[in-house]
Amino acid sequence: MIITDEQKDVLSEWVNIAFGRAAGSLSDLLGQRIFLKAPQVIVLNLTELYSSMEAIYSGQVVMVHQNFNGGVSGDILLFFDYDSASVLIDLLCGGVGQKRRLTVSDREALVEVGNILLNAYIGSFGNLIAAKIKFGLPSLSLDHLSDLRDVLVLNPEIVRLILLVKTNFSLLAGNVTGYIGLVLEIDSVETLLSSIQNIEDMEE
Amino acid sequence: MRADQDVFSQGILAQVEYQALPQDLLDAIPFGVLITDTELKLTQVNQWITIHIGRPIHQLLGKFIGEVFPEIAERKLVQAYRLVLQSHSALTLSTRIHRYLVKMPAAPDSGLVDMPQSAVIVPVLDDNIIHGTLTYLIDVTDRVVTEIALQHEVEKLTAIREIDQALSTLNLEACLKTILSWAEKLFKTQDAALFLLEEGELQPVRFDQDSPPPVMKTCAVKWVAEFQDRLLVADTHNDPRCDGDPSALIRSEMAVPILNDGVTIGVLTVQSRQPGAFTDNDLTLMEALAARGGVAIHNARLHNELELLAATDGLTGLANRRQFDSVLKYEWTRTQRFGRPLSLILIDLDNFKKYNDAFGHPVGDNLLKNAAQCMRTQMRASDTLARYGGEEFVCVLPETDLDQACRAAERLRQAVARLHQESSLAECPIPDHPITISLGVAQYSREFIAPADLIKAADTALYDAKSRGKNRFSIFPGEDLPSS
Repeated sequence: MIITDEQKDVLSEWVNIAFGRAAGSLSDLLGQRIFLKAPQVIVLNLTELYSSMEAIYSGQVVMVHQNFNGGVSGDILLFFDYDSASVLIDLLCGGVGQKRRLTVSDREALVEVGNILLNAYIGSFGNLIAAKIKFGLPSLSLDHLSDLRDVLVLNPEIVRLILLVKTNFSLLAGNVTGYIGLVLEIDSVETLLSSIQNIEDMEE
Repeated sequence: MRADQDVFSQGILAQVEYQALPQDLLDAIPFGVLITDTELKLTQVNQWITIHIGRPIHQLLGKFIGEVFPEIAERKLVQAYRLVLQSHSALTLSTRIHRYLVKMPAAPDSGLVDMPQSAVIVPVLDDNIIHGTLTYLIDVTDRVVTEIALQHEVEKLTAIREIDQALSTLNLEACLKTILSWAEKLFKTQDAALFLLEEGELQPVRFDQDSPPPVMKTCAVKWVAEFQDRLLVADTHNDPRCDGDPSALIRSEMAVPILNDGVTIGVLTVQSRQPGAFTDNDLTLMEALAARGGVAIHNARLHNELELLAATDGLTGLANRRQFDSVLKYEWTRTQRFGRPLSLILIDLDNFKKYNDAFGHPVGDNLLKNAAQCMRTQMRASDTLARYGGEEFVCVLPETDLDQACRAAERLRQAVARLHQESSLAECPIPDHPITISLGVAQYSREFIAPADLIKAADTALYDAKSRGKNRFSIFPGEDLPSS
């Protein structure tokens, strides 16, 4: 299956809506104003992820990862380069955005941010396709980008796509860039697209 | 098994099917468990929770979680539960961001007020039908206390590194300011003071007279100077070293000696009007600051001394030849640029060789010293009097024209002529050898190309004064001017 430009636009629009909800939940639960700047959505073949991100992330990548299955299956992840992750935690805890080593408590806070964002994000997704989705447990990892790809490419025979959203977390004292990725098999992308199509048809 | 976050990641309890769990089983779990229905009313709570909040279980069950624990509702964390119900996905509430989910007192020896907790809210699902939530609540006091201690150590090391960088200066005032500003920054106080030992007396360091008076030289400061040891006074009102003065405004204080080579050269102190404002940890850090400060102060002082030595003539204490050259060069440039007058006087002690031969070198040296001292008192602060070599002296007079320079020369001549009458020269028993000087005066002219030309002009005038009988001044060019 080849995703057409038109279909990419449809996906991008949907991702934007889901994203707005995720940002709202994040501000409420963390008790401070957090703006997520209008995201750019890129649709990539998963094998392209490494080459397109390599230039950005040459060091360690901090990733909150959760898989899900049911009506659609896939993985959802939030990732930062190490320094950005540590700056974000410092900002969330009232600091001025200093870099530091991530402690166990810092990592747990990152899991929380990931949980809230990813839950809210994928929640919109579940509503959209009215399908039952079951989540695995969230996990946090510190890896290089190449290892990250290995986690996501389960079977090289199966083409998986990633909807990648570059996000700017903007807080009062500073801002940080991270990425949210939704990794889906082609079947799931088709299900998603047809669900979107159905809704649009109903609205018309 | 230790109750920590590994339990979550392994997901032992994550996929709970909804049926009431045996209470005995729940009570055996060594961390908190809260189970709610989909309306977020508590259906089960284990003993760990009831013990830590000190309330009986019947007050909790059947009630909305936000009502039983208002701290959850107040911080909008009910929304976290709603998100779990909606998304069917677990949610972590970290101690870093929320500190705790349910307010409980911390262990008394932890130094914390509330027990820090990590919580995970898990959906209770059965065949994808949601029945409610299950929350694990874990006491992470040990971890948080360790992290805080580690953070303090990291801050300490960072501070010491920055202090080292800031103190890598040979400017004494910059050193002192750095030490004080770091003491204020590290211990979050405006009341930091530095005392330096000067002639056996501790003197407060002040940078200008307009600055507010420094903090007092307290008993603690005196104690530290006397015993060369660090001191932390938690409460001045009942510390014998502070005489237990119940009226003292300063309630707590730290003071450390500033040492150089094992000798106290000063005391650094910070004070607070609150009792118990400082910890042992703070005291150790202040000691590190004082140790580095001591070395920096010593180096800056040595540097000052060396600079002075390099510019001073050892015998007379006047500027030396090198210093004179540099001053003349500077004034020369200024005169050329701004067109202001500049004059030079070259001075020679009359008959010095005879005097030296008659009375010996020590007496000759003494005469040079006294003549130098005498002439210095006649000069303005802006003038530079230097020993030019042997019994020759030179004076640079900026902003001075020939007329004013002649008056200065005459003043010098008269002062030296009176010298032998003064008691300070009692060692020079030479009533028949009056001490006199000859002087050559020259003013900057556009015809001069280099500073050496001005010196040469003054030298020519000096030669003229000598050849006309000494004890007088001449000017360049050798016109007939009224001389003494």
